[in-house]
Amino acid sequence: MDQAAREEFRDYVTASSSALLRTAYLMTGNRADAEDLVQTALAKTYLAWPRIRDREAIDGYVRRVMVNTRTSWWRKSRHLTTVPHDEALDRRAQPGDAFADADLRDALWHALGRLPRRQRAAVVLRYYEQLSEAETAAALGVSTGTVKSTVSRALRKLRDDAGLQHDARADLPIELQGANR
Amino acid sequence: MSPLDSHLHDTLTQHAADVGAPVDLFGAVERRARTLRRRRVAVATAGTAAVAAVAVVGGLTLTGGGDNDTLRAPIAHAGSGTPSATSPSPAASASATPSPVTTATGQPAASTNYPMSWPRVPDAAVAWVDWPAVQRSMAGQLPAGFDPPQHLRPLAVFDTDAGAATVFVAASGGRTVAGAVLQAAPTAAVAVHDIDAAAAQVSAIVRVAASGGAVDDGLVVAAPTAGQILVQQPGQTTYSPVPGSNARTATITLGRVVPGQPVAQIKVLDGNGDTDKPLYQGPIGVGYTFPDV
Repeated sequence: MDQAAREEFRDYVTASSSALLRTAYLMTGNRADAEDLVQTALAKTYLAWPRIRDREAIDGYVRRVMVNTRTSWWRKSRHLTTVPHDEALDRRAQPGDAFADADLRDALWHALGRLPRRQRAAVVLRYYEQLSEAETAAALGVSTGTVKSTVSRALRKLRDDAGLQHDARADLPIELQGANR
Repeated sequence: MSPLDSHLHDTLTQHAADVGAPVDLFGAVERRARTLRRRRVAVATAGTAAVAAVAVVGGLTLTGGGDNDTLRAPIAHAGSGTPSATSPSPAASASATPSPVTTATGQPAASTNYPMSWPRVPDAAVAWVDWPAVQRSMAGQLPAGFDPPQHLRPLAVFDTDAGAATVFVAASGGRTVAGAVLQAAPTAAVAVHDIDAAAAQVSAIVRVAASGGAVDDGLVVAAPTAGQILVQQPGQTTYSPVPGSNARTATITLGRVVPGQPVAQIKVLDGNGDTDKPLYQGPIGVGYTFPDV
């Protein structure tokens, strides 16, 4: 890679690294794996950088590399298939917690950790990155129909999640309670 | 947006907000990219008997347990066989990195038999090493008070940017010393240091001049009774297994090691999955901070 391209890549990393790390964290559930995932995805992007002509498409490219890399890790069983959450970042509701919905968010967070990796990635891309179904499909390398069914199954699992029912049954909104009736 | 959509978005946003910014991500990415590239090359060339000539200038440094016993054995241009001179500074900047912690390992005391306890690689893997020449080269580098090295025992062969390299241990009187040799300079490229009886790892730094500046590869072999090697690069907050490494050997892409600046920290576990206690934790190079690189 020549110096100009290297500087261009450095600028991209500087501008996007925090956002990528946040997305990776939501996909993996812990900081160490998130850093590992972002570094690996960006390293692969670094190697491909001279061949990537459409700079506007870089974000989508990196997201796809992140998803594929995580899938690859899962296949190799080098990383845990269940997602360990950083305890330091857990937001257990405390007495007097100012957040009225803290219990529900906490239960949802742990329920997300129990989703299969692809469902979790789809949920993160749709509900955190707020990508369209088409953009999510591109990032996951699947059709939009598959995105719809994947997200639908993920939401059903969240509604059915035993931990969610137990932890936050008192605060479940109507649409979450519906599956329990 | 339904209430569930809203709760999901809020939950994800809330947790994402707790994630701080990464530190020196670009440096870490470049190091990892080089590791990936090297691994792809290694995979692409696996199964072939041909060994490509290394057309770079390689310098090899092996750092030891203290300032006084660190020696440097520069490697000449590939094929020249003539080491070039370097002038190491005596002023190590130990303050830049935390002191290493080595705990008792239960290994035998240093003796002439001690190198024999390390598992060796097959002779065929290191057939390119001119062992008599390496032995002479090593003897010439040992400080006063060290006996001529014997029982040279190769521990692992690494694929570095300077080509194949092997790390070995040898007996020097009652001590165990370690060295490394590159295939590009199989007779003269030796560096040594003293390792104490409880050493949990032997490490070497291979430096290669490249178009974008010098880069360093760290080679680490854990002691026979030790377990997995973990690494924490500067800027990282946690230790992680070295990607693609075996349990007891690791090639770590260090990028450019700068005097006085933090270097990669390594942690050698005890090999007991129930405890995973670190036998060694500290900078790569056994606590030395590269005073003159």
